Formats: sequence, C-alpha cells, structure tokens
Amino acid sequence: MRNISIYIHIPFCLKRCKYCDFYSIEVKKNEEYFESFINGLEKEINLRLNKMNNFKVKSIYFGGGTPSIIHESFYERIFNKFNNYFDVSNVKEITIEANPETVETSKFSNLKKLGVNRVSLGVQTFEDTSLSNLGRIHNTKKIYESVDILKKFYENINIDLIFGIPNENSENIEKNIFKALNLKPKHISIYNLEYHKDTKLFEDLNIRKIYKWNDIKEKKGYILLRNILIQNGFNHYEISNFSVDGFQSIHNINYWLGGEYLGFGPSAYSFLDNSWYKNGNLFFYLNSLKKNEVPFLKREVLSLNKLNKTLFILNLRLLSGVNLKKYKNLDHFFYEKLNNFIKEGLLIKSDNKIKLSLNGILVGNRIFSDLL
Amino acid sequence: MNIRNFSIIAHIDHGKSTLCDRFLEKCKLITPLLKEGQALDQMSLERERGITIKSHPVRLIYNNNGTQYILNLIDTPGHVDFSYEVSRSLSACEGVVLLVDATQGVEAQTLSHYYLAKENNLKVIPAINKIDMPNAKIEVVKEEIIKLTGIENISLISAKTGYGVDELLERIVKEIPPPENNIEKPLKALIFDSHYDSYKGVIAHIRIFDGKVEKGMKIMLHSNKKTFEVIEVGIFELDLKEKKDLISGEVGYIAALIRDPKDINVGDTIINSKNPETDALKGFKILKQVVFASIFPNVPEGFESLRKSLDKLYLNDPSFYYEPEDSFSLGPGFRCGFLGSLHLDIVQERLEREYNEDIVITYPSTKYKVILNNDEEIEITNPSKLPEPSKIKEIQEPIANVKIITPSEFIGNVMKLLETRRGKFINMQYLDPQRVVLEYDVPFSKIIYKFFDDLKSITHGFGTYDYSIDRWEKGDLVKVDILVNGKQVDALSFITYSDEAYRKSKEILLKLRKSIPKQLYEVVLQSKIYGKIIARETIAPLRKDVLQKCYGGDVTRKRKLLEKQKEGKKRMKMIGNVEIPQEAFLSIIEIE
Repeated sequence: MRNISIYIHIPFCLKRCKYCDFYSIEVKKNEEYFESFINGLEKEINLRLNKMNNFKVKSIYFGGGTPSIIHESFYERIFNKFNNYFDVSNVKEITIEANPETVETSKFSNLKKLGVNRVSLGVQTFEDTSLSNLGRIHNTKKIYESVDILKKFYENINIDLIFGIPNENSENIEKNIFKALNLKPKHISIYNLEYHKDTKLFEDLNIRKIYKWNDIKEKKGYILLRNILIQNGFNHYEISNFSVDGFQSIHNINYWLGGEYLGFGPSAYSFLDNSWYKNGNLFFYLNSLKKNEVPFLKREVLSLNKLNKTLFILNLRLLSGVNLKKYKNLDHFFYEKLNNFIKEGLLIKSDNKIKLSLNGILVGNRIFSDLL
Repeated sequence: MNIRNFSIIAHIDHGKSTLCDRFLEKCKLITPLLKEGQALDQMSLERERGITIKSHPVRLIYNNNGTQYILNLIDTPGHVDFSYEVSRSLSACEGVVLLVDATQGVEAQTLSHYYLAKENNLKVIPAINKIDMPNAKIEVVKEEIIKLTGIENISLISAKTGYGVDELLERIVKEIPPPENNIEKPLKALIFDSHYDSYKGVIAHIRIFDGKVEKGMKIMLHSNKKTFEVIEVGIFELDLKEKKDLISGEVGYIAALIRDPKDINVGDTIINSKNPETDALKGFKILKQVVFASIFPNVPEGFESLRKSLDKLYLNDPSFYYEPEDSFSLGPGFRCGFLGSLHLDIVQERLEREYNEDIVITYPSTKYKVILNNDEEIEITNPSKLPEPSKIKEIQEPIANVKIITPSEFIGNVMKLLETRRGKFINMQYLDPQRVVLEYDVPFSKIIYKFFDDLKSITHGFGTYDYSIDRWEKGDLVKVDILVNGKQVDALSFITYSDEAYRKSKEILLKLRKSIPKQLYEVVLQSKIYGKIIARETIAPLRKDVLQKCYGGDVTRKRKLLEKQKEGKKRMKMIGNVEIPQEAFLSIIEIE
C-alpha cells in the first residue's frame, strides 16, 4: 500500500501580492477561466488516478493562488471525482488556503460539509499600512470577521504571519503575534519576508523605495516570535511552523519526510518514485488535457546521491531531526560535513538522530547549501 | 639599391596607424576598401586601446617619377612601458617621421621618442597631422616642434583625407639616407622584434647591417652564443614572403626552428657562426621586468589550462616572464613579471579575452634590491619572499625619471600629485607659453597604480607622461602582512613606506571587509609589520540566513537556489575556514 498526499493548485488571485512568486493569474470573481479549469482538473484526476492502484490518501491540500475565491460547487465536483477513486471521508486532513477577504459563511460551511477540516488563513500582519504595501487585498477588520466565521465550523485553523516587513519593527511583530494568539489558532506559520526576483517587491528594493531588515534584526525578530509562541504552548516543529499538540500539519510533514505526493492543477509538482514532475502553466495544462495527455511539463530525476542529500536537508527542516538510519548511500564527505557542523554547534547529534540547533536554524541555508 | 628604412614616431592617438594605412594604400599594398581597420594593428585589443603593442614591419614599393624605392616601414609600439622596444625598432632605421597631432601638440612620448631618434642619429622629418580638424592649432604646434627639434621644414598633412601624404613620401626618399652597403663584411643583423609560428618556430624580425643571410646558413646569436640553421628568409608584405636572401641594408625575417622564444632577445645581434668574433651592435639589453604580480586560476583545477595559455601567450609576447609559484593561501599559480602596469593590464585582458581564463591577480609590486647584513645583494619581486628583518641592512627601490607635459594652468595640480607620490622636483621648462614639461624623480612603485588615471583627471585629460627607470635608492620600506582569522595571506603581503603602512593597510582591510561576505563566524582582519599588529577590522558573523517556505512545490526551486549558493562558494578561495571571493583580491589593486 502506497501512502500519498494530494495537492491541488488553484492558480487564481483577485490581485497578486507584491512579494509572491508562486504561479497565479489575476482574475475577477466568476471568471470564465474557472469552468475550463475545473473541467481540466476533473480530466487530470481521471487520467492520473486511473493509473494508480493500491494507494491510500493521507491528506489533501488546496493551495494557490487563492483557493477560497472559487465557488464551493466546484469543490463539490472535485470531491465527487476523488470519491470515484478513494473515499475522501477517510482522509485525515483536508486543508484549504484562504484569504480573509474571501471568507464567507455559506462557502465555508459548505466546504466543511464536503470534508474540509483545516483552514490556512493568510493573515500576514495586523498593520493595515503594511497589508496595503504588500499588495494584500484584505485589512485587519476583515481578519477578525473571517476568523469569527471560520471558528463556527473549524477547529483546526492555521494563521500565516510575515515578519521583516519594511517599516515594521520588533514592536510591531510582537503586537502581531499576540493578536494572532488571541484568535486562538491551533497552528501558526511565521515567514520572514523574502524578496524574489521578478516580484514587485524585489523591484522596490532595487530602486531603494523600501529597505530590507538586516540579518541582526531578522535574527532578533525570529527569536522573539519563537519565544513568545513557545511560552504560549506552541511546539516549534519546523523552521517556520508552530502548533498546539496534535495539530501539526500532516500534509506538510509528508513533504519534509520525503513522502510521495500528487500535485494537480497548473504548475503543480508531484513526487513519485523518486522523481519530481512539474505540470505546465494554465495554457499548457488545458491544451494537454484537451488532447487527453497528462499535463507534465518536465520530469526531474536526481542521482541517488543527490536525491538522498536533497531529502536529507528537507528532513532537517523538521526540528525533531533526521533519522540517520533512513538515509543510506551518502558519501563520506557528507558525514565529514555533518561532523563539522556538530563540532561547530550548528547541528546536534543524539543517538541516531541529527537535528538543527537554534543557531543552526538561523543559518539553515548555509548548512543546507553546504550539505547539498 | 633604393632602400629607405624608417619609422613613424608619435604619441598615442596622434594618427600613426592611419598614416601607415595611407602609405600602404599609396604603395598599392592595400585597397581603400580595407581602410576601416588599420592594417598594421592586428590584435583587437590594440585597436580598442588605440595603441600598438607589437610592431609589425612592412615593405612597400614606392614609385617616384619613374624611380622605384623599397620603403621598409617599421612600426613602433606606442606606450610608455615599451620604450626599450621602441629604441630597438628605431635603431633598425635611418630616419623617422615625427608625427604630431595638430589639435594636441607635442606630448610626452613625442619628446621621449624624439630623443631616442636623436640618440640613434636618425634623420627626423617632422609632420603635423589632422590639419583638417576645426580645432587644429597649426601655428602653435609648429612653434613647439621647432623649439624641440630646431627643424623648420614641417610637413602639414591629414592622414585621414590623404592630404600632403604624397609630398611626405617624397620627403622620405629625398631626406632619409639610404642604408650603408656593407655586403662584403661578415653578417651582422639586429633583432628588433619576433613572433611565433607553430611550424617554423620563432620568426625573428631583423635588419641586416653587414653581410647577408640566406637559407641553409648557420647563424649564431651573439648574446647566448646559440647556433641555428636558417630554414627560411624573407620580407614583410602584409604577410611574410619568402626570398632567396637578405642583404646589407634590408629589413626582413628569418626562421631557424628556434623553439624557445627566450633565445631570441630584442636588440640582440645575429652573426655568422663561422665568424664568432664579430662584434655585437650597440644598445642590447636583456629586457627587464619592473612590475610583478601573481596570477592564479580561479579554481585549482584551472592550473593546467592557465599554464597552457601562458605558454601560448608567451610565444607572442616574450617580454613578460612567468614561473610556477605555490601560494600558501591561493594554491598553485604563477609569478609574473611585466614591463610596466599597462603591460600587466594587457596580459591580464588577453588571458581573459583570448584564452578565456578565469584568473585571480594579486596586488602588483615592483622589484626591490635588498642588501643583507653580510653585504649580499638580492632582488625581491615577491613581497612575501622578503627575508627576516633582522637579516636586512637596507632595502633599495627603483627610481623613475618622469617627464610630464601639461597645460600650464594645471602645473599646481600636477605638482601636488607628484608630491603625494613622493616625487622630487628636478626641472620645469616651457614648451610654449601654454605648455610645460615637468621633470620629477619618483619612486617607481608610486607610479604603478592609477598614476596615469590621476594625471588625466587632474589635467582634464591633457597631461601626458613618460618615464625611464634610471637608478636605485635606499627607501624607508617595510613589509606589511595581512592576516585573516590569524592566518597570513601571503598573496596580500606588500612592501611600502613605513609612514604609509598604516593608511594603506587600513584601506586594504576596509576593502576586504566590504568584499568578504558574512561568514558563520566572526572574521578578524589584521595587518602586521614584523610581528606587530598595526590595524584591525572585523566582519560580524552572519546572524540569519534561512529559507522560510519550503513545501512540496518548492523543493526543486529551493534546491536550485541552494545549489547556486554553493556554486558561488566554489569560486571563493578558502583561507583557513574563511571564504574569500575573487573580488576581494581584485578590489585591493585599486589602492594607491
């Protein structure tokens, strides 16, 4: 029996956020694309799940884009399709990402009835100026309203927060985290604002319209948030993720542990049989499906050595660490590097496990790139 | 035989190459269609910098009222670093055209080349070029030339339009004497240049003074007494053209399967091995490199490729020298010597552009003469090789005699510049009411870096200079070592004046601090003189660098990002546990 997770990419947003580099298209509500997209998605599910046998689905995750802008009737169609291949009611965790602006009572009550049991809410910050500077469509008021609605139907709510926003400081982020805690979510993700090439924010940075937090400020901010969360009963279980006992994200843990997953929808990735597959963008996607072809744009196969290293560093993101027994075929250079990091106090070894120390978390990229 | 051997001497950009092209055209060796490229400047680099690095002779057939003349036009390199080569090219001639730009007037190299021509007793024909330019100052320039040379008969030409070129050619054959005919004497030929041919070996460019040379003859090189058998002799048209023999008075080439370019030295005399007692021609010197720097491959695996490229480059430019060096901090590389800092730039650029080498070049140094306590004298070209201070009696440095021509309004600026460069005033002379020649003695090490740039900027581009290194002088010099986290970086050691050591090392440490990225630990940068730390900078450790979101769709993208980060690291040099990027080594070169 094969344990898999399913990811569905909904590549539409009312407006792109200035910092986002995920694949999405700006659309108005009830855009004509939706219909052809859902048709395509149904076809993709048929094409791909037909070929799979003997599998069990651990989790489903609707990400984007902004999955919450699509009408629940579309979700009903997708769930019906899934039910042809497996029993959705047996799936432990079904998450949908939501923008506070698009949270409506009827929609989320219907989604709950369909089987959705976890909502990841893109709050980002409680400062209205920052929200508009980042190009977010919602405001603080909308955050509170949306949480009120969600709480009626969902116990398992995650709140996404961003820190390191230009013009914010450690006081702002401290206020933010307490405001988030007051909403009593079961899970909080905190992300350091990143400046990706080809985003509006990156441009703003280059023309010095905005300024980045320096590494010292970021470090202090991160530690401050982390300490507050821990003091308030949250477990720090992954570099950016905190949860109340029993509410770790099943879906995301599957990624970090190198589990298999199927990605549906434009530009979604799948990981199966030690290879990554990437779907093409919306136009490629719809075209392929019109011809009854699986919409794979490319497949990436790594050498066994590279694959193991990649999975190893992915696993290292989990603060519980890596079980050394799980990874074989790593060369002696790799172990030498591990030992150096242990000596330097960036990694900690206990029994057969290797994990990041707090200092190691802070400079994770250097460790990962060195180990790769 | 109606031969005229001559050269054109001019400051950079005064139109020498264009005039050469016009001569070639008039003598039907080139069609006007080809005139876009200046025919004699072969290397693209030369064309870009507007200077000729290697000299290429050419033989022209010139008809003057029914009489045929053979004109051997010997091109000369046009930069300060190559004055010895210029002097050897000139000694192959009987006369020169002294070409001066009507818009610029007499410049530093016009002066120095003119004096070289006088030393060689050459007939000088002055000519003013670019007279068609709207800003031509013909009368002023005329006065300058008369003041310099005493010659009043000055040709006015425009090499661009061809105006006056016919008359100039006529003057050349009338005024420049034909070479003496000494065909009965034993062979005596001057090597004034060479290039490399992969089949025939080194091709020596020669001027026959006495006797003749032909295929099959056994020749001897006067300086090293090596003998070779001549396999080919010939003359220069736009290409090489084989000929039966070369006789007294002629200019041409010989090939003798000479494989090592070191054997052929510019200025050396070729004689007949049957007459080993023949005297050498005057003026021969072994070329002296005065600027030294180390060149390292950016990645250690690049060493073999770099060696091959240097070997190849050397065949065409035997005036630089290189030998393997193993640096403690930078690994295997080469210590190289150059004729000057421009020469270094050219070699560096050719390695990068023509040979695609990815290199790290260290802080250039000059040569120092060290007198030890036991009175033994050694020459130091690599600061890291300086003996223990307790063994040193004194350190001597080369002193350059520098001549600068500047519009008189900038005299103050120029004097200030030379003072900051530790120059000693020698003389000042007005060339004309607006322009001045300033003569200074300056430690050579102080004109290696950025001197020309600084001179240009303080004289609004009008100042020009030339130099010759003429003596050694004791200096108050110390060696400064640079340490990174306690480890000495031998490639960064330098020799300087004790009163400049602090300022200079502080600047270097600041540059290093800027160009070394934050590491996982604090990095301490220090400079040290004889065991004493004199300056210190620190680079704070990296506090935070971690990717935030990393989920299913991101694995591939994030892995690529991390790999890119890793690639960047590979290009860095490891000093202890500190990663130093190439830019760090390059950035300090800018420090004067």
